[in-house]
Amino acid sequence: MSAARYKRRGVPTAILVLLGASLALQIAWRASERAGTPAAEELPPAPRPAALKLAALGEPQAVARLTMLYLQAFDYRSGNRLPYQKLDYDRLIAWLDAIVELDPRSQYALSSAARIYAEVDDPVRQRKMLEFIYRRFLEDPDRRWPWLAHAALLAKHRLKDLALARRFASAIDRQATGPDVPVWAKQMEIFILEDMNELEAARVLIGGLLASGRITNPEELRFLYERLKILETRIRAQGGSKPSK
Amino acid sequence: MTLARFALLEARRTGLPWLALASIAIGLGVAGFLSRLAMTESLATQTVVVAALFRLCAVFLVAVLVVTSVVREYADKSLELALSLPMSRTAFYLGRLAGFAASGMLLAACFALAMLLWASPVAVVAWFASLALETALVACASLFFVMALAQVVPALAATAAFYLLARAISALRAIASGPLTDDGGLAQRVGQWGLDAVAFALPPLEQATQSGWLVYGPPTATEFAQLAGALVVYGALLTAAGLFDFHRRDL
Repeated sequence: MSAARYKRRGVPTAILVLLGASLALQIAWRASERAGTPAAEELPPAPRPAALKLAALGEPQAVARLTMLYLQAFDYRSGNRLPYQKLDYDRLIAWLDAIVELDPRSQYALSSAARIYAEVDDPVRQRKMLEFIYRRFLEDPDRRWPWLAHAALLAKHRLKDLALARRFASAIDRQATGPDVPVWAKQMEIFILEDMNELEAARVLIGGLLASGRITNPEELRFLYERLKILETRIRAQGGSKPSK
Repeated sequence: MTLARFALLEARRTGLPWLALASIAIGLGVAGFLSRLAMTESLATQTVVVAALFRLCAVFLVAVLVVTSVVREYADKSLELALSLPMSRTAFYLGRLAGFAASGMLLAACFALAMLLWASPVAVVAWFASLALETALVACASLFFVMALAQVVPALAATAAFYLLARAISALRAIASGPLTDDGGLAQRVGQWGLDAVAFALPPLEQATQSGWLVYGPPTATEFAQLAGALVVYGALLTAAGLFDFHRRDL
């Protein structure tokens, strides 16, 4: 196609005017629209996982991540001092459930749940999100333990709910049995028990851990023996049971 | 071979390389955009979204290339001219198909090279092989539909419907057999049988060219061989159906 076809000469003036006017109108129209972050109230009900799978057309990983990006835009605008405070957490959890169903191997939804949505300054919302993390952890403990460990820390330090923190830490110890799960994650329950002043239970856990032979690192072994000694000293001071040999 | 070479030449002259480059540029832009949005798993997010985009681009470009090329042949009577030469209809059909499939393979190679920016070479090789097979299958389907329908819009619509249904059929069957629909009624059972019957007539495209391979590792050799076998068998079926239709046509 030659460039001569594009020369202006020969085009009726009315068409040029129409072209210019419609272009200006289009730009003005779009400029007048306020494209902002959607508000919390605008979060629609989550689609059923099966419907989302259908819409994915065989690309569940891509759709799961795009849905996550869509979800994280709600209620997070600049200048919002308390992001996610107004989000309907039941809907949010339904969305996160659908995303996890779509791509169970991705950590995005659970990572966001632990690090973003559970950090909200509202105990009711926090508890809902922590329970979501716990529920989803049970389906794949060896892959999802980091988020439950984070949830245990939030329960302990933010919610000050040591019983809840212990439940999460205990679940990691018992359910996450893979070789990649670090010892510190399995030891969380011991420290939470100490904080709860459940010294005898903590002593039994350390003893069990040492007896199991799972700990092979000399530094970790030394640390646990020292911890055991401290516990036994505290138990003796409280007039508790006899220390182990 | 000559016909296949002409098809490749036509692909080059109709701007397919530029469209492939434009698609890669759009992919790079999308990846850059996503890298700023994703709070975690940024690389994985970029990888799967760009791979899904490239897959769609490859399939769309091949389908449009095949359909417009054949419709042009119909319009300028070059089909009749080619058939007047000492050449069988089978040779003509297979020659054109080989050229279109080779164009699809070159497109897949371009996109696979771009995917090396985000994923490991082993995973990209599996993804490329699957995309090459998928584009070849789409070339078979497009050629079958355009030879039968001889017009751009109906042929493209039929190809799109076939492709989308093949990618959605597993999810549709899962929905049909889901617990909420399980009332055991005759209508539901008939619906399930209908979907099962449709699934029998479609290739397993939802298992092909998965972007998940690029982030979670490629499929095992056995899984890939099964998938490739299924795509090759379906390609053969479409080619046979196209040849059957082409031979009985009065041109």
